[in-house]
Amino acid sequence: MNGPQFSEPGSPYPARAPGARRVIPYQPPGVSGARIAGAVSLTFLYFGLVALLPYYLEQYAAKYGLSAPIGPDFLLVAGAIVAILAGLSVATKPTRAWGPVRVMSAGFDLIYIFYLLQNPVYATTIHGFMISLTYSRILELFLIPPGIGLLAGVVTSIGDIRHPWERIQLQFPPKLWPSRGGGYGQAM
Amino acid sequence: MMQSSPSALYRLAQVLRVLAILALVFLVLFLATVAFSAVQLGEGIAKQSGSLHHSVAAAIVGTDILVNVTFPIPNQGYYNVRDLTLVAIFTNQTIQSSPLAVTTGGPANIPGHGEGNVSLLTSFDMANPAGPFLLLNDAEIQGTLFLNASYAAVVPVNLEVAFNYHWGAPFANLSYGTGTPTLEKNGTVAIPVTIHFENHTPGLTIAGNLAVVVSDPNGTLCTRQTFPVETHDGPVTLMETFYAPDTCSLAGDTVTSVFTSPGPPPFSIDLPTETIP
Repeated sequence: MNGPQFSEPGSPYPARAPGARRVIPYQPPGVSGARIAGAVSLTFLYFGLVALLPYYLEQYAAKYGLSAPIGPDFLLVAGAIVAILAGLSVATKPTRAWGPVRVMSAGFDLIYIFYLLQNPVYATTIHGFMISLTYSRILELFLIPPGIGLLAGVVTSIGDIRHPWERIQLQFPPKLWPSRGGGYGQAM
Repeated sequence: MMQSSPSALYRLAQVLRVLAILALVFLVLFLATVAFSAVQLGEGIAKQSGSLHHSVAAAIVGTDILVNVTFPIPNQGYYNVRDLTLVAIFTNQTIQSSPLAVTTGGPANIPGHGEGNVSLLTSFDMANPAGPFLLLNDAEIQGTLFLNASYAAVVPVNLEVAFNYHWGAPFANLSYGTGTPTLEKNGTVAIPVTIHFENHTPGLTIAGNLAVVVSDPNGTLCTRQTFPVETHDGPVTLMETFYAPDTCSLAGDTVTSVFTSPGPPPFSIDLPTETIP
């Protein structure tokens, strides 16, 4: 390899041995302010989609006598948890906590969907016809993404344990181009 | 430590994350199209609800009055309606033998952007107490239709339709009237009898024989006569002459009648007792 090499943070080995190529210690990016801002934005976006949108749809439907099996308060609380965990997942991506957080997030999504599966019937009346939709199969299909996400979180957690910093290094490669303040972005 | 290539765990995690995102996107798009199609399907069915009475045919087979109700079901959505089955229960609060009939229809498949007709054959058994009642009396029959189907292969739909069906009796307003008796040479009395009824079910033709037994208030037989009867649309007035002993006045007597159909198979129904005014 011709490029610079990086030592792990806290490595007892010198970053640059005599006669060897220069090794630049890798500095994980950490949770930056921009990332936190992005996570908060995503949390609000998720809250709007997962909690507020179903909440107002339910309120709108209630005006026409349509009753949903899930209470509006539950929608808001569960949606808020889903949104917070999703935001937390984004915030912790540059850290080794990302895997466990993803497991928590996907796990809660699965629990939420399993709860919805307890009463998966939406009954309504249109022009005197009582129509009930059983959406259990749809919900069962929606178990797939968080199920795969849970698996991805577990694999990520194991990978972060077995190969520390590999994922973070690959997903957040060191900046080797000159920064605005002169010099190189990555500490040397 | 820089590695030449990512580890298998990292690659597996990456693949799983992409799969999860793709699955979520696909499901959201699928759900949106299913919801849009379902609304169109529901609106189409609602528009057809008014034409329910235009597709009703009735007939008598054996001891059953068969009512064939055809439900036109348009499907303006993208997805197929599969395994559509119907169950209908007809009841009437006046008649104590409830339910009057339980009938099933289907299964049927209705393609997307298509239309299907589902026929529901309802049988009213004349052998049960509802039979004579329905022959003589109009009735508001409460119908409840249960529809089960699978929409877009993954959404089971259950439709419960409550509707009222007006049953028109083929022998509605059955009444007997007597004219002035005339003494015959053989010592009997000839009494003109007018039998009137109305067929309130257009298109329903019933042919058979009506056996009429006239008894005085003490139960003594005055006369018995059988004559052919065939219903047709609207009122029917039959003029018959009954011959009875001169001891019978007929006025105030009771009339019991039995309607007999030659079939096949032959059947007979005892009609309720009437009193001659």
